Amino acid sequence: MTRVFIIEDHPVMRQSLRAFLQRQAGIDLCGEAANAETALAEIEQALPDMVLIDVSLPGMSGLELLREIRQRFPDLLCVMLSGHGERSHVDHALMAGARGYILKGDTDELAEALRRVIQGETYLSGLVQNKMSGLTSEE
Amino acid sequence: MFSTNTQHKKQHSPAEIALRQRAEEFQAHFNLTAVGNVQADANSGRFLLVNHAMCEITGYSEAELLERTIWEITDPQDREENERLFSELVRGQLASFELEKRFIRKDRDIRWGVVSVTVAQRDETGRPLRTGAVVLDITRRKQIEESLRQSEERYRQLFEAMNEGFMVGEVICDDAGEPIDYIIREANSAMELVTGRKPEEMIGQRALTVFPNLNREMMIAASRVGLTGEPAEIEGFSPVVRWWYRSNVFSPRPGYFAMVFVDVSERKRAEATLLQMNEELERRVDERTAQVRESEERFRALIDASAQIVWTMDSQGRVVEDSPSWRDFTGRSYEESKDWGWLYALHPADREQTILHWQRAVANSQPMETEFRVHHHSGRWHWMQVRAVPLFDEHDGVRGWVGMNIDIHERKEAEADRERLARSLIMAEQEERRRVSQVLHDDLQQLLYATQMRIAMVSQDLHAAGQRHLTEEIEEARAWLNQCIETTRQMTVDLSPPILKNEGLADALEWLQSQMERRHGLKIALYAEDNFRIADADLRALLFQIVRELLFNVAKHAGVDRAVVELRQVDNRLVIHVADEGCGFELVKIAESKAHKEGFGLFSAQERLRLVGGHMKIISQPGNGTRVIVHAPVQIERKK
Repeated sequence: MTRVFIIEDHPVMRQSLRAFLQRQAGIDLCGEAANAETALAEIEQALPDMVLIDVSLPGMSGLELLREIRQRFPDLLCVMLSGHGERSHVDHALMAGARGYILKGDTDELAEALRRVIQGETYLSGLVQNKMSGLTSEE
Repeated sequence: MFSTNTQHKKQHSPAEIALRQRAEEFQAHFNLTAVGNVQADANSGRFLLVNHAMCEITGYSEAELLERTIWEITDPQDREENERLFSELVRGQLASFELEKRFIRKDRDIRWGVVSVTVAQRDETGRPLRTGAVVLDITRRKQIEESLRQSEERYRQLFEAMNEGFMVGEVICDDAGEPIDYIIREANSAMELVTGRKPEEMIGQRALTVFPNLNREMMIAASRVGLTGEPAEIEGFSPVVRWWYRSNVFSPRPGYFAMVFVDVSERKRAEATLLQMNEELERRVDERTAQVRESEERFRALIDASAQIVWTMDSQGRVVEDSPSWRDFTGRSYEESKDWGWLYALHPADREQTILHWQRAVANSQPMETEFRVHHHSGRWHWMQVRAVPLFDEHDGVRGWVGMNIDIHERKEAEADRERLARSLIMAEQEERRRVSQVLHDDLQQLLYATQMRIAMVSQDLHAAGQRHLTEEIEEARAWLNQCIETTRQMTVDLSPPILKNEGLADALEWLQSQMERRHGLKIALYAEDNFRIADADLRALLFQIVRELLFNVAKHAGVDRAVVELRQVDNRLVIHVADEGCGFELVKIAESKAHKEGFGLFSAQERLRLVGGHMKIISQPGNGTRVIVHAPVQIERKK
């Protein structure tokens, strides 16, 4: 079982994520937080294998939290959730050690992403990949 | 030469001899005299005896004359008179007569002679047989007389033909020898122009009789010339013919004066016109002077009313004269302000700029206009508008300056308020955009995502339960929901790109780069320094929006699919270039078109930039692409 911790500030979104993850085989939801500070405090107790981090968080941003977690828990798998796939965000996230970057709203993709990351791959949302490849080909 | 009837040559008696001797003496005398001497027949007028002088006068020989009568050698013009007198003499009505007459010479020349005729011999009854005449040649005298006559004729013609009036007057004096009148002795026809009287009405008359209104002074002045012989020049006016004349007066002989009148009316009229014009000119100058004085008074009143301070400086721009208004305003004494002391009343931040302006104005002798803050005696700084103009001397050199300061403090404050307000409006707009964007992103979008996830899960359950129809229904709803998500996503980024919230402008532009290509097919070559961050989020958003607007324009109007964006930081300024090689445009036409009024156009962008202290330069020409350079003052934060 993979222990997953959710960091999402919007309660309804958090609730949906929770419902979603609980349905996924092989995934154990070990905790959740609405902001970075709570998350950092709780992760130590929850001992997750993976964290889902909303990029837009109040206070410390999702990216900053990512860096902090990577520093404190280098082995933790970090997957970013975002409403938009700006390249710089994706770049920064990947550079900071994120293993996945997933656009919110695509449930099928989320399930697939979690599975792939657990298997040790790095996953980028399809839309993000498209953007990246488009830019890459241009450069 | 003298011949007599001596047909018989015989011995003569002593008496005869004595007679003959006397006759010979007479003959000799008759011939020798230079005066013509003739005897003629009293009836026929035939010459009976002629002397040598008569032959000389007539050009005939003695023999030729003796064959002729008096009448044959008399000019026809004198013949009738001559015959009348001759016949009266012969009839005894005259004892003798004298006549000036013309002889026709043999060569047809005319000789004048004075002929004295008497009876030389009578018969027994006393009837005249012979006449005797003495002829004196007066041709020379007659010639002189004729030339005199001709000369006088010429003089008379000249006299009459003169355009100038000419008159001669004979002075009449009283007992004391003072002139009281004159008699007009001569006057030519031109005098009629002077006096209005014909010469015949004047000549021989006393002047005061003919002209009772005669100018006495003129009369006395002219008469004095007659009395003293000293010539004079007199000017006067003829009231009769309204004529101005100038007269040279001289004295042809004692007691007489002659005057030539020259019409100087034209000159006088010209002089009068000139005088009139001169008076008119003086009147106008007076009038204008009064106007100028009035204008100056008005101007001064205006200055007093509008300018708080009026001052003067020397040609080098130094205060050399006290300005009470400056003193009152600043509370600084003349001693403190003189030379360059006035600069110390200026706000330190404005001094350098003012000195530069002032030096340039002084160097070029050009009027200066500037604004600076002056320290009011109350302790407050007042913005003042300053105008100075050079005063020129007659050699076009600057002799000094005069200036006035107008207190524009309230205007400046109002302007600053307006700008602050405008700026805060812009910032409020940015704030509002961000707020709406945030609500969309943080709440609505999250709800949509969550709902979408829930629906996805329900869909999965329905699918597993074999509820095909319901699954289709719910998938359709899910597709609509995806559209909603996409729309709100777009709105969020359009309103305020989330990336701007945390990242730098360079990152945002990078994001924009991908957006423009994805949504408009516009490929952007981006050269952006990204080692800094603009501290002011609103300004960051504004600059981002401006670049986005410029790129929209390229996508919409330039007709090309490529553009270049360059972002550089120079000192505390940000410089952004947005360029394309598209069709370009004429700025004027764009400004006139309604396009710029629509939304966030070029000119709106310019205005917004100006309000935050920046500016935008647009370089474009039809067919030659467009380059827009944006300058903005920014506070920079260095990235870690």
